[in-house]
Amino acid sequence: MNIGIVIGSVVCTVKTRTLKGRRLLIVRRIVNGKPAGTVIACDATGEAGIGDWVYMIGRAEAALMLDPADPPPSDLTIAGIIDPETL
Amino acid sequence: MKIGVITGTVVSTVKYERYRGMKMLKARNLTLEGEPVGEEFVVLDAADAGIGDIVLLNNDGGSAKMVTGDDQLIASMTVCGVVDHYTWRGKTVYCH
Repeated sequence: MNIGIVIGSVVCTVKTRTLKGRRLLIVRRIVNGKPAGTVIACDATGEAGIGDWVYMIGRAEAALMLDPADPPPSDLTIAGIIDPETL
Repeated sequence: MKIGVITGTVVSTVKYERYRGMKMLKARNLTLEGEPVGEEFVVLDAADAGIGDIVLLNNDGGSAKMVTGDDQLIASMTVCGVVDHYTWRGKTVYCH
């Protein structure tokens, strides 16, 4: 599960049906402590905010975390937030 | 599976509910010569590994379900073994 920091969010009104109600966050990937590019991930925890260190799963099956019956087309899903004080 | 090294622990309170009660570690892949290579990532521990252990890293969701025994689990990387030693090109590398 790749590590990253949430630096923003994305709002789309017109989108795929299954993305409705899902939070889309802009995450800067951290590779060995150094920032490396930004990606947009769907948030499965529902509580990630700007500045949170998160870990993400990068495959389509990870979207089953959001809704096993009708998963959104997310290729990168935030699985959890690393506790800030333990970084 | 790949050989990797555990580089740290991860404490995560807010997470996917099926990960509750599971130990999470930070790990990196190792080349067979023993140098760390690639990105540091978060793995689920299913073999009681600790920091500094040379481990077997499994990068498949299906086997993550088998290893942790939860067939609804969504995970990518799991630690499925702590390596004692491995023999490669005629030499044996002892891992602890």
